[in-house]
Parts: sequence; structure tokens; C-alpha cells
Amino acid sequence: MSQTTTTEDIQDDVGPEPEPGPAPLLRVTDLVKEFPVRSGLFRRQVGAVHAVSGVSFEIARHQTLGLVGESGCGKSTTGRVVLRLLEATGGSILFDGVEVAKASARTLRRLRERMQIVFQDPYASLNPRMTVESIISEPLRIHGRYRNGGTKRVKDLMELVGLKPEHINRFPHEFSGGQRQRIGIARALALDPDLLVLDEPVSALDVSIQAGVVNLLEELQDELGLAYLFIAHDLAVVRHISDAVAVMYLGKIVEQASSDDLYERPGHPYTQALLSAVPVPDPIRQKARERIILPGDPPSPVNPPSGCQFHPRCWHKLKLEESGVDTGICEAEDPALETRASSGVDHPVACHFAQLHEVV
Amino acid sequence: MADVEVEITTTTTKLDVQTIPEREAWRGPLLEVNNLSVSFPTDDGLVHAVDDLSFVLRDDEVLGIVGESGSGKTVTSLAILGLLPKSADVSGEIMFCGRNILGLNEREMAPLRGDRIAMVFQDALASLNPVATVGWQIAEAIKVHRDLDKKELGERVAELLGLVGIPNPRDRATQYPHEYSGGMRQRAMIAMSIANDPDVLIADEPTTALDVTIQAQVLDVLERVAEKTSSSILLITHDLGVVAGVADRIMVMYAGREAELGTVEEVFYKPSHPYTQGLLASLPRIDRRDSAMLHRIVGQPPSLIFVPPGCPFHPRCPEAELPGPCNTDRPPLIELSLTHLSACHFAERLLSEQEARRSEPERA
Repeated sequence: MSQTTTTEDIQDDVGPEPEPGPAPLLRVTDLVKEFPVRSGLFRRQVGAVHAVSGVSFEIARHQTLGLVGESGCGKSTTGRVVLRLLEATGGSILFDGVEVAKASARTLRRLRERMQIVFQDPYASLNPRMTVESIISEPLRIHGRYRNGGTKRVKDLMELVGLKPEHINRFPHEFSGGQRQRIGIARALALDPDLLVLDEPVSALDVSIQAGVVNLLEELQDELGLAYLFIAHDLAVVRHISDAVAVMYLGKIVEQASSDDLYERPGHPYTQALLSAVPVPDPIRQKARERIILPGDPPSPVNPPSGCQFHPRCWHKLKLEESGVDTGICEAEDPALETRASSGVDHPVACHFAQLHEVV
Repeated sequence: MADVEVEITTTTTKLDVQTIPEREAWRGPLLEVNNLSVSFPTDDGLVHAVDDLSFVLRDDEVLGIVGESGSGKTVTSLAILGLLPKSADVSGEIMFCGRNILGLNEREMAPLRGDRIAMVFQDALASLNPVATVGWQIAEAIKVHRDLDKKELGERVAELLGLVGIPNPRDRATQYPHEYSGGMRQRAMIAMSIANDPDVLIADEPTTALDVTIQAQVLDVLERVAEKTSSSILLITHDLGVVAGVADRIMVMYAGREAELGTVEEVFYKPSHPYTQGLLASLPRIDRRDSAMLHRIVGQPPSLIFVPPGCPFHPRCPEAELPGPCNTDRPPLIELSLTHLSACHFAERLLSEQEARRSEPERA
């Protein structure tokens, strides 16, 4: 691999794709997912956890969208609803022009070949009683593709993800964490998917191992033209791997932009606080950086705050109030995710008072 | 934690503490670990968790211990507190204010623990008692070592909770751990650990399970503790970003040994051990545009049962000369400056390369 992969290189790769068409591979519109809260003798529904409330995004072929946010913000739920591992409460998920949310069992079966998931925990996501061969070949068997050269395909996949094909008969416990995550990736690639949902794929790995898996994911994307929905809480990894990034807070996307734009020109006070909180491994820079400390914790998605959901923790709102600005709108009205001319950033931000504030 | 044992033994052991000088009366290094080795017998063989490790924790400093899983950082901290299981085979010295505390029995260790040496554990939920109020638990930690009346205790608890940034400390003290959020629990743990103004505070991955905004809150509290109390802090973490902002000095560990020791600036700007260099290069950076592939350290961390001969890092090392000293001789800690040590046969060459590289852009 050459050391520099410029954006031109990537575009060149996209060029000769069979159907480059203008439609993105995945288009999610106003996605809603609520989990019922039941209580009492008859388990009547008394409320709902608003895990995902009105999320929209697109992913083109060969592109990576990073989805970031703190635990409980709904990023993993979003990933699962997209694959219909969970049923959506509302909204539309168009995968290559087909509506996933309403697909029949048969259509869904065909769609599932093309969209796969890699889970966070390489220890819990592999059956300890199955050999690597049976783990990686399981999707091939389920979709009736094993008979013709299944073993060869498994060996090819192992080689593709950097495992030794001669370890085909080993069990998961004989592999290290990084190698297990490679097994999970090989399994996800078995059916030649177009889209991978990567749910915290490197969070459980040590630093020196993490870099290898991140590189592998990038190489695979270049080689196979995959689209990734990369869900993670590690903002540094997300910047490195993503073309575009969406920041979620309490089930909503609060800011969305190209990767460099989001990190260098954040417009939402939450994004700014999130970025400022990530420590930089450079002592002089780290000590000089501004760290925005947010008070409290994210509120409960059962009973989200009125208006802008971030307003009870918003440092920017406090500052505005100190300088005499009326911020009543923050508590009254939910800000739309849109580009605001006054904000100084040219990407969509869901904040009434969006304003550029560089923190990285 | 062994609260019960502590309570039974304290009344009889106040005398033993007298043999360890008070911090003010001791002029030498606060905590000195000399040639510490810890191994555990297992069915597969002897696990060498810590192997001939030596380091010093000075007065009023924050020492960051960085390493990946299995590098021996947690075992080292448990050895200092005398919390290793009985099956562990331990040798070496742990000098606290000039007295070896390694091998002290429970009765002798109890008055030190929580009073002069305290610890913050990673998992705050598992470390707090779910059926006692947070205030009661903090008061308990004080009562074990100090005779305070109820009013004084209440005030001290509120003061501690206030110090770690918990709002309405008096009301909050009467709540149970489940009424606290994750970040508040970790802060309550820190409040408990500094309750007796310990000389040494060991924080073992204090922010690892936390979200980044909550991590920022906890780091802020740790920095405040480092500033406002006279405790020396041993900060154990795998996150180089965390130590960059908080620590004064850093020890990088690999396979139970020290790989590199130095001030934060030395370790970050002039890393002179190939493992440190590899770790720093493999980190994706939030503050940089880079589309190039990440640097990758080849191979896996070694098994601690069959540690490679010579330098334990040699099978993964880009600098290793094989066959040569790397796979035959254990590298000594080479002194690069008064504060900078590296356990690599080629440390001096690596340092001069780093210095040459760093001065280039300055000249340009």
C-alpha cells in the first residue's frame, strides 16, 4: 500500500464501478425507533424509550459514514434498525432502491446477503464450540452458497483478512482478540456484501492491535468497494476512517459534515464539548487545549427534555445568557438540522445559536 | 473490598504504623519499587506477570504507567497495596518512606491501606456497596483510621464530595450508589480514596469504562486532587492521551518490564524505545488530517508463560538485529538523561535519530 491515499485516488476507484448512478447505496429518512416501557399487572405500555427519533443520512458506495455519540445516544440501535435486526417504528430505509423497513421475508433474505454487521465484542460474538471454518462458512450455508467451493472461499476469506488459512480447523479461543475480530470480519464478508455495519469494531482491542484492524478495514474498502456505517465512540478512530461523520445526542443527529469539516469547524456546542474532551497524545498541545466540561450526564431517553434536548447541559446557552441573550427558544423549540448562514459553518447543525468554535 | 477485616484489625495495629516514618520526616523517595517480580503458577506453567521491575514515585508527582493488557500494570499496583492472591510468588522490595512493605501481613498492611496508600478502581459500580449510602461508605473509610465525631464526619464527607464536584454534597451523601450516574460514582470513589489525605493514590484505569465527556469530568477532578492535596498519584492507563495531559513522568511497560521511563516530554517527543515509538505512531489522531495507513506493530503481545529470550519485544521490533543481542541479552535500562531511561540495546542511537528528526522542522 502506498503511504498516501489522496481523495483523487478514491474517486478514480469509484469511477469504473458498474452502476455509479446518483442514488446513494443507503438512504435513511426520518428513522424512528421506540421501545415500549411496560408496567403494572397487565404489562400495559406506560411510555416509550425514544432510542432513535427522526434520523436521516445517506451512504454512497465506497464511502464511510461515522456515527458517534455517547453510550445510550442510539447509535447502535440505528445500526441494527438499518439491518432490520430491530423493526423500525417509523421512517424509511432505502437500500439500493429497495425499502428495507417494509421488505417481505423473501426480499429481506436477499437483502441480508448484501448488508452485514461486525460486532464489538470479539469474545461474545463467536460461538466457542464452532471451528473457524464453520463460523465463516455459516452465512454461505444459510444462503446455499457453500456447496460449490465453500472451503476454498473460507480459506480465501481468511487470507483476505490476514489470518493463516491453515488455522481453518481451530476454535475461537485459540486466537487473540485482534485475530477474533478478523474472524468476525471474514464472516461478514463471506457473502460479498455491499454495506457493512461496524458496531464499535475496534473498541475492545489494544492500541497496537487496533491499528492493524483499522488498516484492514480500509484496505478491504479499497479492494471490494464496500460502504461502511462505522459506529464508534472513539472520535480519533472515526476521524481517521470516515469520509463523513454524524454526531448523535439522545436519538437525534445534532451535526453532520465531512470528516475534516466536522473536526476542524464544529458548529454544535455538544460536538465542541465532545471533541474538546478527547485527550490528544501530545503533552504540550494537550495542556494548552481548552477542555469544555459538560455538567451532568445525558438525560434519560424515556423522558427527554423539551425543546433542544441538549439545553440542560449546554455550555453555549449559559454563556449567551450571561451576555444577556434571550435563550427561551432553546427550551421551547426543537432546532432543525440545517445549515445556518449565521453560524460560520457550512454544514447542517441542530442548534438555534450554532456558532463555529474550534477546539481540536 | 475487605472492609470487615480492616475494621477488626485497626484497634490493635496502630503501633505498627509508627515504624514507618511520617511523610514529612522522610527525606528519601516516597515510594520505591526495587526488582519487583510477581509470578502466578497456572496449569499451563508459570505466568511471569511482573519481571524485575524497578521505579520510583517521588513526592507530589503524577507518574503515569502505560501499557497494554497483560503488561503487568495492575499486578504492580496490587503488589503495592498487598492485595495479590496468596498463590502469587512475589520477590523484590517495595519501599514506602524507607520501609519495605512487601510481605507485610494483613494486620500490618491494614493501617496503611486507605490511609497512607489508597486506590481508585476501574469499576466504580462493583467497588461501591449497593445497600449503603455513599456518605456512609465515605465516612466508613475515615472512621477506620480516624476518631471523628458524627458531626465532624458529616462535614468531612460533604467537603470531600464537594471537592470532587458533586453538587449539593450534603443531600447527595444520603443517596445510594444506584442513584448516582456512572461519572458521579467514579468521583465518589475518588472522594473515598482521598478521604484520609493519602501519601500515595493509585488510580487504576479510572476513566476506562466512561464516556468521553464523563472522562473529562473525572480527569478534571484528578487534576484538582493532584493540585490541591499533597498526594502523589500513580495513574495506570492504556490511554496515552490521558497521561499526556495529567502525568509528570511516564513509565511504559511491556511484558511485565519497564520499556521506557521519562518525563512526559521525553517519552512523547523523544521516544527512544521501539515499542513506545510504535505505540505513538499507531494512534489515530483527532487533531490531524491523515489519510495514510496507521502504523502497525506487527505480531501479538507475548505469552507471559513463554516470554521471548533477550528483549521481550524483539519478535515485533523493527529495529531488532537478529541474531544478535536482542534475542540473547536482556537489555539494561540505558540512561539517556537524568530522567530518561530506555530498555533497548540501541536506545542511544534511537534517541539521536529522534533528536535529529525533531530539530529538522525547526531549522526549516
